[in-house]
Amino acid sequence: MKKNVFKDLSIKKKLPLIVAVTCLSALLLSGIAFLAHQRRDTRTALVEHISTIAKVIASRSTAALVFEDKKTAAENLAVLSQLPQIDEAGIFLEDGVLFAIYLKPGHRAHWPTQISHASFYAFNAGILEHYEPIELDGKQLGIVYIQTNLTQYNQKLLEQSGFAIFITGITLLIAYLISRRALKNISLPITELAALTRQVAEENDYTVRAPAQSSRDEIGRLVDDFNNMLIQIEKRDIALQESKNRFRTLLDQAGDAFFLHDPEGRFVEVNERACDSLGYTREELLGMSVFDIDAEAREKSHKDTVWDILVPGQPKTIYGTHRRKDGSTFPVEVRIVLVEEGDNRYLQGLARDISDRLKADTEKEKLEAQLRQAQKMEAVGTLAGGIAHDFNNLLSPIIGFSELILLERSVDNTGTKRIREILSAANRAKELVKQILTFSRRSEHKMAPLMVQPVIKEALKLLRSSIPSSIEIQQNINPECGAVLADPGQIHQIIMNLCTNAFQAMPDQSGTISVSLSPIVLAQADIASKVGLQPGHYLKLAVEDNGQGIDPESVKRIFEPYFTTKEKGKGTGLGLAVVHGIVKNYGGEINVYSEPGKGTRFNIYLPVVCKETAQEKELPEKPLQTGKEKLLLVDDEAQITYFGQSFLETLGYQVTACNDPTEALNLFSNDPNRFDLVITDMTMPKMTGALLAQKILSVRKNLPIIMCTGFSETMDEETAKRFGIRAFLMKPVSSHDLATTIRAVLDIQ
Amino acid sequence: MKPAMRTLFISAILLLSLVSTCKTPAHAEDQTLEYKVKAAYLYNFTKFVSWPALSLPEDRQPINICVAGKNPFGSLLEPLTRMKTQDRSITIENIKDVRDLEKRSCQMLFISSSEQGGITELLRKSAGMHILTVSDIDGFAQHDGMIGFAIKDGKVRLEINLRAARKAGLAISAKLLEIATVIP
Repeated sequence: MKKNVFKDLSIKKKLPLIVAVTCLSALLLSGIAFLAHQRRDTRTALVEHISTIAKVIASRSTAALVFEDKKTAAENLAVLSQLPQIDEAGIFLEDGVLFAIYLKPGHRAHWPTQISHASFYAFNAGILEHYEPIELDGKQLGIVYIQTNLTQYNQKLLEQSGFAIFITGITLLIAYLISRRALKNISLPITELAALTRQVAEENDYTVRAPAQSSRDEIGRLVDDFNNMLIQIEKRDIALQESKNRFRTLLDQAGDAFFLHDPEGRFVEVNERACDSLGYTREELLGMSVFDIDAEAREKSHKDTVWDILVPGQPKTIYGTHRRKDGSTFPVEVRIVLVEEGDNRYLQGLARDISDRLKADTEKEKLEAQLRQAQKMEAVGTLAGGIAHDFNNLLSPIIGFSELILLERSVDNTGTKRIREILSAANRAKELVKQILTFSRRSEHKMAPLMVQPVIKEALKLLRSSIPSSIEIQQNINPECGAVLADPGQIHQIIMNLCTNAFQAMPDQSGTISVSLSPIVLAQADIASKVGLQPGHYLKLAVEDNGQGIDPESVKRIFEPYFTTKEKGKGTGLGLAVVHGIVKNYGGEINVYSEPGKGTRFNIYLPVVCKETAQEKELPEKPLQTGKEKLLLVDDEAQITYFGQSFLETLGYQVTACNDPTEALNLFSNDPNRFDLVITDMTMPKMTGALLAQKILSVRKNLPIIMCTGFSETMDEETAKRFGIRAFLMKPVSSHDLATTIRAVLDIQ
Repeated sequence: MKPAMRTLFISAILLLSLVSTCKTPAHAEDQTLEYKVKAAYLYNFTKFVSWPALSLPEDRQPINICVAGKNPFGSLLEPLTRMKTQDRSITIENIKDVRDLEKRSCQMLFISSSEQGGITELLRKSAGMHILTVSDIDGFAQHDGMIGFAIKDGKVRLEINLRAARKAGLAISAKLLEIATVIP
C-alpha cells in the first residue's frame, strides 16, 4: 500500500524523495558506521589509556612489591584519583592477597571474586575491568586491577550519536532542498510532457506541441521525438480523415445502396443512396434491421441461408424486394459479401434498384422480336423482288405484242376483244408486280415533298363512293401538318388499303372508320419502342375502325406478304405488306393495335421534311407520239427487242435491234453518227447497260441514251442522269411510256 | 611473625656488631631471619641497579657479590648462586683482606659490621671500581656508603646515598629510590 502511494506520487515529488531517501540511507549507514567505529575507537583508546596507566602502576610498583612497601604501592594507586571515571583499583599479590587498594571517594568496593593473572580487560555491565600483571625480571610479582566506570564514556557516546543524528537531519534537509531545485530541470519537462500527453489523449488534439527544450540531453531528445511523433500522428490523422472523407463521399455518391449489418440484421452503416432509395433518414435506418426493409427476408431463414453459405471475400449476387418507408416495394439485385473485422462478422450489401432494367429487358425482348420480324420482311421482300423482276420480263412481250396486234388492227372485232382481255389481265399482273416491288421497296417512285392532306381527302372521297353508306367515315385532318417526302400515289394507296381492310373487318357492313392526321414530335423516349425511327417531327396518320379486330397471333404476322385472314379471293395478302413497304421506304413506322371484337387501329409515323407545299402534278392522257429518227435498241432478250423494234417502227422510227451489247458497241463504233438515240436494257450478260452507255458516251458525249430496267441495285434515275443517261424506264415498259420518253428525250436536243 | 622476626633481626645485629647500640637481647633465630631478608634484598638490588659496561661487560659474566669481613649470612647466600638475575648467574665471594679487593672483580660489596674500623679504607678503595656498596653498619649511607640497611618500625628499610652511587657510575632505579630514604 505504502509502495503504491510512493508509485502514484508525481515525478516532481518522487525524484527529490528518492534523493532524500538515498541520502538518508547513506547518511544513516555512514553514521552508524562512524558511531560503531567511534565506539570501538573510544573503547580501544580507553582500554589503551587504562592499560597504559595500569602498566605504569605495575611497573612503578615492582620495587614496592619486592620490598613489601604497601604505602608506596598505595601511593602509586592514588594517582588514579586524577581520573574520575576510575571507581576502584587494587594491587593483588600472586596468591590473590590484596596488597594495596584505591577507592574513589564515596565508592563502595566491588572486588572481583576471581582475578586474572594475565593482562586482560573486559567490559561488564557498565564497567571496564582491567588486569595488568606486575613482573620483574620475567617473574610475576602480582596484578594491578583497575575498574573503570563507563557511565561517562557512554554519555559521551550518546552525545556523539545525537550530534550525528542532528547532522544527518540537517544534511538531509539541505540535500532535499538542493535536489528539489536541481531536479526541477528533469521533472519539470517530464511533468509538462505528461500533461501534454494527457491532453492529447483526452482531447485527441494532435496539433499541440511540447515547448522545445534547450538541453540536448535525453529529456530534450524525448521532447523533440515526442513532437515529431505528434507531427507524424497529425499527418496520419489528416491523411486518415481525408481518406475517410473520400470513402464517405465515394460511399454516399455510389450508384448503389450500401448496407452493412451484423448477424442480427441490425444496420451498422448505410449510405445516402440507401436512405434515398428507401425514403428513410440515415438515423432511422441505423436504428432498423435488414428485416424491416427486405420484404422477403425472415430472421430465421435469413440467418440459415445467407450467413452459412457465404465465404469472406467471395461476393454473391442475390435478388430480392425492398420495401420503402411508404410501403411500396421495388425489385433489387444485391451483391452481398461477408466482411470479417476481428471477431465481428458483418454482411455488406450493395443493392441496386432493377425496376428499370427489368422494364428495359422486357422492352428489349419486344424490340428483338420486332427486329426479327423486320428481317423476315426484308428477306421476303428480297425474294418477292427477285420474282417480280423476272415476272416483269415475261409480262413485257405479252403486253407489248397485245398492244402491237391492236395497233396493227389485223384482227377482227372478236380477236380485238380477246386481245384486250389479254392486255387487261397482263396489265393487272403488271400492277401486281408493281405492288410487290413497292412492298419490297424496289419500285422507283418520284419522291418529292408532299402535303398529304389533299391526297388523303381525295382518297377518302373515292372510298366514300365505293363502300356502303352504312359505314361512317370520320376524318380529322389537321391542315397544319408539314410536308413529307413521298409519292402521292403511294399515300393514296396507303389510305385505300387501310380503309379497305377496315371496311372488310365489318362483316355486318356497319360501323365507323376514322382517319386522323396530326403533327407529332417524337422525343428519344417516344421512339424507344419503335424500330428505325429518329427523334424529330413526324406526321401521325391513324386509321381506326370498330370492326371485329385481329387476334394477337395474326397481329404478329399481319405485315407479311400473302398473309391473309380473308376468304380466298377476297384479298391478295399484299395490302398491308405494301403499306408496310411504303412506310418503311419513307423512313417511317407503322404499328397496329387491335382488340378482338372491339376494333383495330393502325398508326403511321412519317418524318416531316419541310413545311412547303408541293402540288401533285396530274399527267394528262395523250396520244402516242411518233418520229422518224434512227434508233439503236439493245436487249439480251430477243423477244423484247423484237417487240420494241416492231412497235417503234410502227411509230415511224428507223430501228436497229441488237441482242448483244458487244455487237451493239461495234455497230455504234463503226459509225457513231448513225443513230440518234440508244435504248438499252440494264441487266445483260457480257456487258451491263451502264458500261455500254459509258463507252458510247465516251465516243459521242451528247448521244441520248434511255436505260430500261426491271430492277437495278446499282442504277437509279439519279445515277443514270449523272452518267449522262437521259432517261430511265421501268420494265415492263408500257408503249405509252416508251413513246413519250423517246419523244421527250429527242425533243430536248 | 614479622614483629618477632624483626626483634630477632635486631638482636642479631646487636650481637654481631661490636659498636651496636642494640638494646634488645639477640636471638639466634631472629638473626637468621633478618639475614634471610637481607640476602633476598641483596638479590633484589641486582634488579634495580645498572652497572656501567666497564664493570660488567656483556659476556654473561656473573654478578659477583662480595662479602667483606666476617660473613653474617652464613650459608644464607648459597641459594642465590642458583638463581639468575638479568640473565646472569650470581657468585658469592668472601674477602678477608682489603687488599684482596683490587684483585677481585666485585659488582656488589657487602661490608660486614666487623669491618667498621676499616670502612673508610674499603670505601676509598672500591670507589673507583664501580662497586655497589651495601652495609648494615649504622649511618653507612651518611658516610659515603651507597645502600644502608636500617630497621624502622620493625622493618628492614633502605637508605641510599645517590651521590655516592652516581660517583661510582652506578644507576639506581627510581623505583628503588621511591621505597628508600635517599641521603642527599
